[in-house]
Amino acid sequence: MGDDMFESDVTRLLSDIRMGDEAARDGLFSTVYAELRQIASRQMRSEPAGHTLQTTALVHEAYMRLTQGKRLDTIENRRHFFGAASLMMKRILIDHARRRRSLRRNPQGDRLLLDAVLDQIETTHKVDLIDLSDALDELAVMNKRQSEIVDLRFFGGLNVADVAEQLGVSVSLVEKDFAAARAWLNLRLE
Amino acid sequence: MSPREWHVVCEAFDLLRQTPEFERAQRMAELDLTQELRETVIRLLESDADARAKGRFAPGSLINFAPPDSEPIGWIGQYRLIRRLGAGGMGEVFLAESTHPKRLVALKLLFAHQVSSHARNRFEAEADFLARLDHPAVTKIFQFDVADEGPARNRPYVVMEYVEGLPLDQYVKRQKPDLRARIRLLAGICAGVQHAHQKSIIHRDLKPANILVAPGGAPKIVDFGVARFDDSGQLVQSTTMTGHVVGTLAYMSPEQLERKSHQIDTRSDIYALGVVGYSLFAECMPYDIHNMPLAEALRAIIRGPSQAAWEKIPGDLRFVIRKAMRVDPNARYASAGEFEQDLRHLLTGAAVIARPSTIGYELRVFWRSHWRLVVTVALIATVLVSATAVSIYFAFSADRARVVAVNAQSDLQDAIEFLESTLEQTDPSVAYGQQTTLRQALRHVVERRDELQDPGARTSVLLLCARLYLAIGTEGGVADGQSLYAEASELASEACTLASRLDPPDPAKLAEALATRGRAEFRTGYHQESIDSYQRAIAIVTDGAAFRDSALPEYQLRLATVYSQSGDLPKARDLTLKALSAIGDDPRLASEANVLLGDFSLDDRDFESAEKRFRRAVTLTETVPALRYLHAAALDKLGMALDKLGKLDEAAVHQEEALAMRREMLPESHPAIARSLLAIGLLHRGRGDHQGLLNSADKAVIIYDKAYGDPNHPSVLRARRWRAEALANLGRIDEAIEENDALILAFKQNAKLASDLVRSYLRRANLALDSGNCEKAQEDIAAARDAEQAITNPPPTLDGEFDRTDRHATEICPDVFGGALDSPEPVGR
Repeated sequence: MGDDMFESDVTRLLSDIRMGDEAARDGLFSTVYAELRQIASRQMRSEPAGHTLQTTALVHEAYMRLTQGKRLDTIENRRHFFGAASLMMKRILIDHARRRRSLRRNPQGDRLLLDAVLDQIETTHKVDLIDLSDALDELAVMNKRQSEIVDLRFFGGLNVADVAEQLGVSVSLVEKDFAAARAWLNLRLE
Repeated sequence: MSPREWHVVCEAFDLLRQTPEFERAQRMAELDLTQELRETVIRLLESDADARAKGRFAPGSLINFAPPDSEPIGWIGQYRLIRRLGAGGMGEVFLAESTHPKRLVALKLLFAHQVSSHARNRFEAEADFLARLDHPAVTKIFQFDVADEGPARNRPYVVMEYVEGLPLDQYVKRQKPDLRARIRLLAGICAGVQHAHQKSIIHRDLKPANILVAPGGAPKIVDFGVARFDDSGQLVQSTTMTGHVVGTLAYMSPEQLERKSHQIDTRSDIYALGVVGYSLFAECMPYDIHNMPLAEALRAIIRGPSQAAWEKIPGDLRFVIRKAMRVDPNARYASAGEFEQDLRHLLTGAAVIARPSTIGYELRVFWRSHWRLVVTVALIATVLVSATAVSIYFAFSADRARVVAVNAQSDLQDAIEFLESTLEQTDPSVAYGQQTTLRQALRHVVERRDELQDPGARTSVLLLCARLYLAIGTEGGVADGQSLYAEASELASEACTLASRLDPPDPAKLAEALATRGRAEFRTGYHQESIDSYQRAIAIVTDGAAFRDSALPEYQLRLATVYSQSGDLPKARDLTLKALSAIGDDPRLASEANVLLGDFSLDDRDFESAEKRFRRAVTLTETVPALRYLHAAALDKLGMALDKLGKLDEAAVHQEEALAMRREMLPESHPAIARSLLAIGLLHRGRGDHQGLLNSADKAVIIYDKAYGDPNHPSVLRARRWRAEALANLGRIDEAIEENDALILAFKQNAKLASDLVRSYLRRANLALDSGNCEKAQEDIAAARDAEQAITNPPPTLDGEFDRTDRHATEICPDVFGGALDSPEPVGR
């Protein structure tokens, strides 16, 4: 998969997602995931082992590449991209965590890096990503918007104003929802 | 939780989150929520504060873009140094990267000049030792080694876990965690220290700079044991006056400072944890030793922080930190784990070891473990709220009393603070155990009263102590009531002298002091002096200098009690009625006045009036939780009046209720329980159930004996008299006679029990008559007469007993007594 094709793919998928296409969301996910795997294995091969210890480098690089596309330079695009990509990152990581839990296979190239990313996230934030994901699903049953806000803020790194715009609600509502969701999650994950 | 419920919870959470904390409880109460949802909201609010403090789920926190790689500075062993993080007294610390396993580490490289062969040996010896540490709050040590090549050749280094965090003090400054988060933080640090202690490792240099806080809010202790390879005091000696050392000094325990190296153990770390806690909560050091010469700084530390310094820490937390910072290592928490537990107790609102102060205990335990609260509350109750009923019962209104205290005059504040600080020095851990009693605590306060500078406050404290001595004498079940009363009398007199010299004059306080002295004098038997004191107090408040609205009627009531006990019933009754008309709607005083009037009616054998008065007292006290003890007393009295009126069933109901209430409030060994039991026993007797009386009397004897610690205490003896009577009525004549023999011997020892002596003689005479022993009966009746004549004011009920015995005698032994016997002349009336 060439870079250009990937780029156009992403752009097309993004616009579909904007139109409310759930299938496009999944499409983007597999596209991004495939790309992430590629980056990971390439990095493991080409770089001298442990050139960088920054376990977030993978994520960093993935984002860098995904956001370099010309048609992603508008703010609107970027926002949507982050919204979608944050969910993607979340799903990649959680899928990986689940697989790791169930398989306990010998790690391979990309997995090593994902492992490192997972480990760092889980230790820095003192959270088990599978638990967090389950908790977010639970929260979504009680209030879908609150769950989405956490996704966008925590995983997507969007600020309150961005989240508000993304969801089409007021800033104060986002703040209020986020506070309640955070308190609930903190309690639930203790 | 359903989406609908969750929505309700979120709305409430949002509202309360924007409400200042002190108003939350009220706002919460206004909300229409079920208990379950209410609890959820409370938990969410707590969790909110916690999550904020920890920075959980901060936006974008998942993805940290990597900082640009720094150029390696060089290599030490398998470690690539990335950048210098800082330098301390002993070496410099680098961020480094290890090749196997691949990870970031902190590498501490000792300064070359620090390395003696001794240090180097120690260094290596420590390696295995410290590798045992494995706890989330302790930075893991990976390796100790000595560089074998390069510019750092021969310099030892320590490789440890790299923690991306701020030192504790900076973290607090920047993140401003709230109080609960800070307590949690300290508890976490304690847990780490506890882990090390369990592995026999002492830190010896705990201070904020050695405690890092990770971005998530988790503490990590660094430099465990590292301080030790530079031991034998070189650190302090070589760099005496630098700020670095002074900064370290402040966290050192007195035993470390005094170089009592044999005493340095885990408890030295607990002291340091206390100081860390102090600086964490007060955001300053407990002592200002920066500009002091070293020797003076040492003295300041050994003396401990000033009262003003302690006040920077709120509430119970102060007591917890204080316990950790005790100069005497034995008085500190026994372990860091115990310290941690007490901190967690603060979070859950449970009672802390350092300062037991919650309500919701068994009174038995309460009395010995919560004396400080009792004293404080009693002080407030005494000085502000009430002048009479100082007893353990007040504990039930403790919360209210505390609120009152906040608004009290500064004079009272002084008094309370003095009390708390002096009482604090009676070791609370001992108090929590069992030995410290209120009396010991009081003695401590009394001995140190001169330290209280303000004469007004000192007067208040003296008055409090006097009242508490009176209270223990009457309520606490102590054997030596008289010596307590004497103590009270002395303190009250001192208070009077002080109060009369107050500048500006404080007539209300003087009146209060006089009235207290009056009570003490009454208790010690100085009735005339007591009457004088009360009259002076009444004169002062009649002039308008009332300390509080109820002062005048209250003093009048007390005086009436004195009059009634010294036999001046008309004056007593007049004064009580006068007081009652002025009392208004104060339920406590009004019920006391009614009880007193009811007692007068009982004495007059006007049982119907008595019933009305007691009923009124019962009604007045029914709905006031703080007056439960009066309510029980009024029920008890009402039962007595009803008993006399022959309404035994209703009497029994009230007596049982009184007993149940007393059992709720008091330990089973309390004299009031015995009183209730006896009253119920007497009702049994009224129904002819003498076994019932015997059972009650038996129990009462045991309780009284235990409570007063004196088998000849009047209450014990009186209970035994009922026992004797029950035995007699059950036909166990021999046992009854034996009991009466013993009682007569005992009553003879105490002039104040003369009328009891008379009764016992009469009982024994009746028993003699029952067994046909006319001679013996004659002897006892004569002895009873003699004894009666020795009494200045014999109670009117004795006449009836004489009459009954005489009739009995005439019936059984007409030869001996015949009709010639007149009923005895009342004497001395």
